[in-house]
Amino acid sequence: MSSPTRSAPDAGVVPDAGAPSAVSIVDLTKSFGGLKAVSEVTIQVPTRRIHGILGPNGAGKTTVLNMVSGFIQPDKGSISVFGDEVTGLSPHQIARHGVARTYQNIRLFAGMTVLETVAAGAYLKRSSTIPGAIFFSPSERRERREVRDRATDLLRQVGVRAEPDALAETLSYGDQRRVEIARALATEPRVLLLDEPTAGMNDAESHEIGELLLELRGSGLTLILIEHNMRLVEEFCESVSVMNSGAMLAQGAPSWCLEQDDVKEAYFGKRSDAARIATLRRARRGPGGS
Amino acid sequence: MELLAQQLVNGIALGSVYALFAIGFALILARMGILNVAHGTFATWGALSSYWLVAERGVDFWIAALVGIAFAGLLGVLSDVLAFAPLRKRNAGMFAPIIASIGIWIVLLSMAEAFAGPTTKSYPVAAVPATPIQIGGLIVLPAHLMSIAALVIVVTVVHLLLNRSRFGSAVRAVSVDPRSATIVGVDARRTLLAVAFLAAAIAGLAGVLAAFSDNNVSFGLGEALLLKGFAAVVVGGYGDIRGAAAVGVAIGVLEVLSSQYISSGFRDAITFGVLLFVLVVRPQGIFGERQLVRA
Amino acid sequence: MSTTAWITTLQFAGVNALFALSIYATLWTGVLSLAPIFFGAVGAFTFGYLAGTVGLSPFLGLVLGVVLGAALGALTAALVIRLDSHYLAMATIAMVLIGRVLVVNLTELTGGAAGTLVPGELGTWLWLIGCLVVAGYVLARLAKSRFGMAADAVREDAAVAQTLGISPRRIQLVGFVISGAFGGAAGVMQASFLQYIGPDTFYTHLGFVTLAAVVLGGAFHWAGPIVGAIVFTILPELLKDVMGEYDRVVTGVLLVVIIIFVPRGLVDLRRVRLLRARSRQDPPRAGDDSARPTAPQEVTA
Repeated sequence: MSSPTRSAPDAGVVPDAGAPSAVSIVDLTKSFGGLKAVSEVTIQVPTRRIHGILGPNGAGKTTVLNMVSGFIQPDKGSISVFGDEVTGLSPHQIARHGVARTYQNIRLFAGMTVLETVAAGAYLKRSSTIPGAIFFSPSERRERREVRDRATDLLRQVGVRAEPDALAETLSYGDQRRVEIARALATEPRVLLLDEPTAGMNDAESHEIGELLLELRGSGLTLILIEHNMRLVEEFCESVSVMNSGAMLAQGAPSWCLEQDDVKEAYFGKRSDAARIATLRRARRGPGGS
Repeated sequence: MELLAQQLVNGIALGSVYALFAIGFALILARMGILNVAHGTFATWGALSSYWLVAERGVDFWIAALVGIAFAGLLGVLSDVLAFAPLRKRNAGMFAPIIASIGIWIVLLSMAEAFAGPTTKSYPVAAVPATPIQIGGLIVLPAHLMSIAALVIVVTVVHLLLNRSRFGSAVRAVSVDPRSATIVGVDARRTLLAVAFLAAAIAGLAGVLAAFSDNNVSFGLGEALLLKGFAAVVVGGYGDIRGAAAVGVAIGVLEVLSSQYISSGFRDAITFGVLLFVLVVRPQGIFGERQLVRA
Repeated sequence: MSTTAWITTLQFAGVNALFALSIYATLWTGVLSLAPIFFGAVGAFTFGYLAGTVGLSPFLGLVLGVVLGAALGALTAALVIRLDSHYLAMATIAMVLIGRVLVVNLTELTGGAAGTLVPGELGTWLWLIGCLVVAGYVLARLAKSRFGMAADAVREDAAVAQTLGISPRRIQLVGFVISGAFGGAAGVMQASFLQYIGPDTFYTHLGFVTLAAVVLGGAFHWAGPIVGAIVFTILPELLKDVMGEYDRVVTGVLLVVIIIFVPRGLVDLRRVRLLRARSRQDPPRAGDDSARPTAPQEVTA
């Protein structure tokens, strides 16, 4: 995979000169004990763009996201957000640059209600002090009210159906994902990273998430999502990067990228006929297929 | 010059006991992820049980020592079965095992206190080997010789066991992920119990040697070892037992030399001073393999 | 047990509750620390020394205990917060053990092994309840504040908390300062009730009992440590008649049993909420722990 990455000419992957990208990832490289998880990946995402990162399992997508949010320090390369270099900063500093995220395996806070979970996301937007909290000053009271109202609004916006005082971890899978998005939105980010936001959702629910993404972009956000649902990607993403084995295969418009031979190969593999036959047999013998 | 050489030997002997204790402590920390604060009481019970056999039952010293070591190992296995295994099964995080080990510490310490009483005791003079041995110009006590020999043997055997044997690869597999280890045919349960036994038995050995070297048995014996062992593990790291062992020996030498040439009242303070210094200046450990929390 | 014995026991339960709240303050931010015992020792011996030499008034002694404790808390945090949680816990246990070495050796200041006498004016119910109410009030007010929500987040998942802009070390530093203030006050109160302090007053036994109190009562709500301290101080007294000198063994066994079977303690808001959720929704839906994805966390240390 040493051939240079192909880009569709009209994809806008390379930004116009002068206009800074919302997120600019250049030559990002990371190895884990000899294994190259991410190798010289470059992604430019302009402001107000819904950008998808695609690729089979183990392609290095989540590692890229983890480096952008600061969990993993890259071996090489740089990341900047709206022109500010954030490489090497810790996650909470990167959050202060306006980057928020959700997780592939939902990570909610145990024991917190739905409303508390979202309110916890408002940390950066609150200004109350410890003495203010202890003496329960008027500004503290006002702030608590505002945080609650804002959290309620966000829950409505992302479409959580459960009661605000329900324990977040008891919600349905889809609602848990939406609560996670609301928590991220409570930080009032400029860039939202979503790691498989529709995993485990049915088509109708996935479509709702897609609509939500459009709405968020409308309000000025830049969104980067890792996604396996191709229908969703083709419908809502304006550009995509396709990765395989840590390297970039292709970038550009979704329909163009998915037509590329090596992208197809990465997804569907060059499995030997024997393996293919075995799979078919298993499918036939199985009681109800999948 | 002769005094210095003599004190060096004493220091290495004392440090060997610390090092032995640190090896067991590091083993539990590295391979089972448990900071076992009850480890000191394993040493205490190793010493108490062997003392009881020698003084009260007239058992031969060597046999009593072996029984004491095995008894300490058994306590380690019991702790694991009753407290740590249920927590492991529930995937309880890292605080729960520390708290459980504090519970075990309370139980074993207060039982030791009730068993041994508040006074310190010494082995009957006739029952233990005590004739000093002349080596060159130096006088070496049998206890000192035994401590140093025990350390050399234990470090060699444990190192080979962990790095060159099937058991060692089983231990590594289990400590990374017990479930996958089971899939590749390792009996996770038995492997963990073997590690628990080995670590606690080494603590028991350290306890017996500590009691024998000082000719002083009390219920608080393990507490002093716990701190020195902890210091050795903090400074030397727990990834490779040889690091902790080397630092354990160094602490012994430092203590003996500082009480000889500086002041005896503060010999503990000097150890802890070094410990605190290392924690602050090099939180990743001297050898750098200690992982930092991702906070 | 006689009435006087009961009253004494309850008073120690109160002081233990103060220590337990001090342990809770750091545990709230995800740090297991026994440093409060050390903070208490420093507060108590400073109080004892100053009361004996310059005749410091007891109230000023309490204030001094709080200030000194808070300062020590900050200092401790600065030194140990970077450590891996195992090392951090052990380092604070080492502080308790070192504290005893210091008390024994700094004879001019502490009275050495013989200990020292302390004025007992603060050893009344009024002062004790006053201290507990203030400590409880502070924690209750902080519970849903900006700091409190951040502390909850850091404890539950420090990595996620960071992506919300929360700096765990900063939150933990605050936890240590609160812990220090409470611990210093608890030390002065303990000294006032005992009117005598020695090398063993602030040692492992006190640490065990208070930690056990926090674990039993629950480390997830400020009321937990208070409930736990009362139960755990009274229980051994009741058991003493039955168990004799083995009463501490029961403490230890209970600690193990609780952490295995009731890991979140007696006061557990999460359990209440779970039960409420179940009773509210009769048709079973993705309701219990099994529905919660328990896949290993993708971001590991």
